[in-house]
Amino acid sequence: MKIVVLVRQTPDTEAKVKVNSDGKTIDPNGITWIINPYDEFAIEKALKIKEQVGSGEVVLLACGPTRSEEAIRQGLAMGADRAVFIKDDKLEHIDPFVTSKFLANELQNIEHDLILSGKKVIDIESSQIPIFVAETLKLPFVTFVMKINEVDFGNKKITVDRESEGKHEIVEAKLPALITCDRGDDHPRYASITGIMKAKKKEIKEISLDSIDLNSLGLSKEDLEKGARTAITNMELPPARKEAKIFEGEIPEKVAALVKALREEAKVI
Amino acid sequence: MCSFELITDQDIVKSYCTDSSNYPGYADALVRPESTSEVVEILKEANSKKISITPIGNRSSLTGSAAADGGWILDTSQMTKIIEINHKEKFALAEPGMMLSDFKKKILDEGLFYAPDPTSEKECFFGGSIATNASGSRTFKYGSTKKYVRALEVVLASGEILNLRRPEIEKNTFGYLPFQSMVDLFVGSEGTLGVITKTEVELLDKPENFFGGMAFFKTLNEALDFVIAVRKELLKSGPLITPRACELFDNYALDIIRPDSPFKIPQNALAGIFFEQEYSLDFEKILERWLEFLEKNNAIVDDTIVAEKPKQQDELRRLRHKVPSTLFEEGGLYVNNGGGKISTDWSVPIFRIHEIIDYAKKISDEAKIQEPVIYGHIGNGHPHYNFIAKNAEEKKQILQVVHSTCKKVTTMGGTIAAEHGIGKIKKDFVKYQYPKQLIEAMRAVKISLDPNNILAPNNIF
Ligand SMILES: Cc1cc2nc3c(=O)[nH]c(=O)nc-3n(C[C@H](O)[C@H](O)[C@H](O)COP(=O)(O)OP(=O)(O)OC[C@H]3O[C@@H](n4cnc5c(N)ncnc54)[C@H](O)[C@@H]3O)c2cc1C
Repeated sequence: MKIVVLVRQTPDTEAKVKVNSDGKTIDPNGITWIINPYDEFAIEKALKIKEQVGSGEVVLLACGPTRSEEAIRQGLAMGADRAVFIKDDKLEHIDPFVTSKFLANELQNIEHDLILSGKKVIDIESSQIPIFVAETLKLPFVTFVMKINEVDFGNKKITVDRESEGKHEIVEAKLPALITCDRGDDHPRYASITGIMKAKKKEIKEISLDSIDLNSLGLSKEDLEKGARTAITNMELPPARKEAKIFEGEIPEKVAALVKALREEAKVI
Repeated sequence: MCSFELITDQDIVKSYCTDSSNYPGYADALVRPESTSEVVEILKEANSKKISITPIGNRSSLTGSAAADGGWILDTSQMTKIIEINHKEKFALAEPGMMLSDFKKKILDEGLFYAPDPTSEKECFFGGSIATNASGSRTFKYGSTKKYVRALEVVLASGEILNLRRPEIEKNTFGYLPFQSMVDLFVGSEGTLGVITKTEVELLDKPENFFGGMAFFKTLNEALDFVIAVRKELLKSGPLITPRACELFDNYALDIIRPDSPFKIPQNALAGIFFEQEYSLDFEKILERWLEFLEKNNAIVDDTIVAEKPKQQDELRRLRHKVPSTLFEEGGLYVNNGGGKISTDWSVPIFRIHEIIDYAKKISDEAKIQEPVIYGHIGNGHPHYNFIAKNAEEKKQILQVVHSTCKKVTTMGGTIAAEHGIGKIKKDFVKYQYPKQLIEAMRAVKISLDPNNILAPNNIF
């Protein structure tokens, strides 16, 4: 049983993001980088499946600039067995379509029964990559999965629970399939100190950008820079919120002050 | 006619009368100065009428020190300004009323670091932390609050303002040593000597990186041995094991965090050590050394977790905080029965930690009371030692045990109050630690600065 998990490195959710002077990209200075949190849920789910089955392999697959290696090491420290890394600093700003082409291309070289990924990447708030991958590979896919109910490798079947619009859908898919993961009840495991030390010795197979034949993927050099299907043309921070007013004191005082402000300042009551 | 507002509505005043110790305070009025000059006016007025004034921060005190014994409560919550953050000289000057965690965050956002980190930093004020000389898990590396206080503006009971600065000279033989740095007289003075209206604290460079972790042990003794080994390691030259925090969880404390823990706490673990370490280079080399060290010192290494990510690091600290807050809540359930949480804060020189814990356990066993929960700042020889008394009878028995333990602590060169101060509920223990004459001398200092004994009466003495 072979599971591949797609991983990406993103800024920490707490990071204070600044926009570069080009107005299209974020300034990486001073940012703490983490594994995309939803990819972490996918790794956790993959490791749980492996533990339940009692054998198999969890392979991480990443495509990104050199710094992404840290996220890969963190995933390996959690317990993944090895990784494949399409690595080049030119991959910093490629669009989801190009990313998915590279990932799908590499997936043809990695044996897999199941592909997991996060339901979205939080840096560009996008859910497109895994779906493009599944489409390219003509695999069935299920999105926004909270829980893997059952994996039946013998009969090549997976049953999952996806939450949508207040209801649960139990979906069955044929393997190999691609599943995008939400958190569900999973809490991504902490790396153990032995896990981190072992991760240092685990294989990260690097794939260089130069070794990829862009033409055969229907891509041009320009697509790498400008985006094949989508491009971010402008990026700005949301407008600063107006300062909030906090009323101090005990509840009766606070309520009186709030009512007064609503009446006299906001003039809404 | 006074120019400040005196709030006498008991519905309001009452809700300011106790602190986290549940000590039953009372007061006639509440005042809420917004500036030093208002504090001056309030104190002048109160002093002339011999009205008691208890300054309060956010009332997270665990000793009743913020629960007024009559008179007026002086609430510092309206004095929230950070007056200066100086990058060049690395200091911040601030009023007392800001939540300590907010103060620290502002400093961090400016790329600097304020080291003191009481577990209650989200529940206590900057000023309260100065007035109690607060310390926290990182005190293991950084020392307690007093080390960072460079200067103070204090309003005395008379209304006079004192501006005190820690001397920067290296030699001084003028006067009794404890008086040579007047700043130290006021840090940790629990509201008894003056109202702290401004504090200048030293800032450090923000540590480049740190990781957190939690190691588990099959016995409490092994965890204590580990801590001693860490302390020995620190004495070596160029050690790689240099934690900034080293905190104990005994089996009861582990049980408190188990249901909420985001990582596996092994079933056979009877103790845990939470640690944090800063580093600038070679994380892997440091971890390699940690692994070797943990193995040598009998940790359950395969379950020792490392928190590299900020979210995980926060989670670890949250778990650490869960222990006192759970005990505090549980104790609260029995207050009406005459019971409640009984906590002590003794510390001993680190090399005597096994001895005192064995002793404390032995006498609680002999008294047939439930075992205490032991957790906290073990790296400094300072475990928190908490009992929950379900009723007045249990409380009486527990207090006997606590008294014997505190007595023993002082014979070992320890202190009965490594943190939290004495307040109103630890006064019975004072006699064990210092000779009577020295306590009288301290009282004389208090009376010379506050002749009418209006400031925080019944704290310490
Ligand atoms: C869950 C929990 C965990 C805790 N953990 C720790 C810990 O790790 N380390 C630690 O040291 N403490 C700890 N404490 C105790 C407490 O939080 C600290 O003593 C804290 O520093 C008190 O600050 P405060 O603003 O709440 O002050 P208060 O409780 O309001 O006052 C404490 C004392 O300071 C005096 N005071 C306050 N402000 C001033 C001022 N401006 N001028 C003069 N006197 C003043 C008061 O008169 C009183 O004597 C903990 C408490 C709780 C409830």
